Amino acid sequence: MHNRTFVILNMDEFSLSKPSSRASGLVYSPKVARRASPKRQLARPDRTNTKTTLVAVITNEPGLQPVLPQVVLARYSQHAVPPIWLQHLYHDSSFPFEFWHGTAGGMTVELFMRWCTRIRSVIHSFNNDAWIVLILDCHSVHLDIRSVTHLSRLGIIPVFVPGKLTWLLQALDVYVFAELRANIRRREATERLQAANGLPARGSWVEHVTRAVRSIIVNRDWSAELEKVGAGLEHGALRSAVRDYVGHEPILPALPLRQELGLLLNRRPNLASMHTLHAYLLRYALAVRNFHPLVRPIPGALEVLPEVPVALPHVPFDDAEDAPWDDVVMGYLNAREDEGALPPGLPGARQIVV
Amino acid sequence: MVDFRCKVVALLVWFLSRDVRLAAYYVLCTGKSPLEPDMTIPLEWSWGLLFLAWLREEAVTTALQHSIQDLNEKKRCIADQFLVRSLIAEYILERNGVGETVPTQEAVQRYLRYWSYRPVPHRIQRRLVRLTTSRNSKRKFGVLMRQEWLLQCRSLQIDRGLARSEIEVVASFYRFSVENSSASICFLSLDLLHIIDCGFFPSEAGGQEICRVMNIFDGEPYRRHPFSCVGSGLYLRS
Repeated sequence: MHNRTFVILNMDEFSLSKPSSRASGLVYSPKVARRASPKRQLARPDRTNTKTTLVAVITNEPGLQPVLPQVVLARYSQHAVPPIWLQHLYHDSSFPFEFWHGTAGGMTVELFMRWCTRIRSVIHSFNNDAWIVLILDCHSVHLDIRSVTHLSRLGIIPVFVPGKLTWLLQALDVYVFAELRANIRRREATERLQAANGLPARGSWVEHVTRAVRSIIVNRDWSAELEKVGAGLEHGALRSAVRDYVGHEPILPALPLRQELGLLLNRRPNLASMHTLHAYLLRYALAVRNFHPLVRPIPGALEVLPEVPVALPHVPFDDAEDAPWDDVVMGYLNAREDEGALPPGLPGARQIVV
Repeated sequence: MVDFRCKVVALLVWFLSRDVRLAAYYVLCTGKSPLEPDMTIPLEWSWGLLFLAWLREEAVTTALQHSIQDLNEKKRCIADQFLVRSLIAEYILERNGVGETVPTQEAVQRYLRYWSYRPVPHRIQRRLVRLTTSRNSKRKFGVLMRQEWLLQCRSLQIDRGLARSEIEVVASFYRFSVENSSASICFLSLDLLHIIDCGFFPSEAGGQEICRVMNIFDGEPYRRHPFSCVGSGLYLRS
């Protein structure tokens, strides 16, 4: 791939139904308060968020990151299309969010294939010559033979992170999801504290999630983090935890045998499905390797992307020694409140029924 | 024995907040209890008299005047920080009443916000800046709040009982026997008024349970009321 233009993507599913506020915090001791121990009100289950999955994707291209679609598989009761008021909420979350209705709230092979087609369309609208390298985990949906076939048909090169090693090698797991979860919880806790009855409003999760995703995933350049987990060209940029395992020797790419593939994917190599999968993956990898350098990727459908500012690398909030204290403190407080605010002029979030 | 600094800070807290109890609480927070329990007069009066006695000490009065004039004076800083933390504690108590806990992060933000509303002494400015970045400073702030205001870091028990309004509105399923009748009556969308309108009265055996439901209606179960509850169902089972 050295002589070709390519973008590296890392995608993973993230459950949006789970990171609800754990509701632990500072509480008065009942002995001190001299009254009945306070009790938390049981919040009515929000039927708009029974099972929701975010298909998060990050890239090493800072210009591409803000236009990459962040797809939300939002299940509604009976898998039906949500009511109008909820659709308005979805719409207000704006580009690049996409809400796919009529799903069961989780990833399936058909949805994955559709997602791949969509992502190729966006990337080729951004850069028509770019090959797509997609880093995935070993979810059974990703390893389904239909998914692999569809990826090869689209010209997307899959790279599978070995099973049980996503905590070490997948940038989304290492850097993104923990912060995203904490951010959503913080927003929910803040809303509960501001509410008179201590209960979140119905459907408020949409704003919490979209603002958190916008501030952490959409508006941030993740190229350095992808390099740190080995998804880059610079070997020296590896994070120390990875370097402890691989040492300082360069890693040479090689195609795995079936037994090795079974070990990497945490599956038994003698299964018939592994035979087929191994054959498909190797056939495609060899085909890509033998492509002429001038061969361009199979183009996807082109669309007009809105103009958005380039994603910037994350700068941790740091206190400047010489800056006035009130600038630092007020900057901190304002940054907390404005985090993930919607820039003006963006089109509404796309909603489709799958 | 209360030391000199504690006396001055307690008096500062008293003057700045105009609250004897808060000043007394500061003294107790420092681990001193100068008062002997005297049941003849209210506790606030005892503390007030004690503070007035401290004011008669010339050194205390001088230090107090100096502290009130100088915002950067060390004892004034201690008193100011205690007062701002008391606002946070009050907020936590208020939110606990609604059934919500306050995360330490939220308490830190509120602490910074309160300081931003008022002039800040030089020696506190660096501490506030550190609170924005240093995780250890935030942790220490949480520890201090817990120690000083006897807080705990935990989650609240969930109130699983139905609220009064919910019992009135939400459909219920209730079954009981009725005196002078061998039938069982099932109420769907419980509306106790139907019992009266139907002319049935509960038996001794089922009365206890009925009374529990009646209490929900402010003890006015015998109010005459037309069948206005749309959707409530009542039928007889033989």
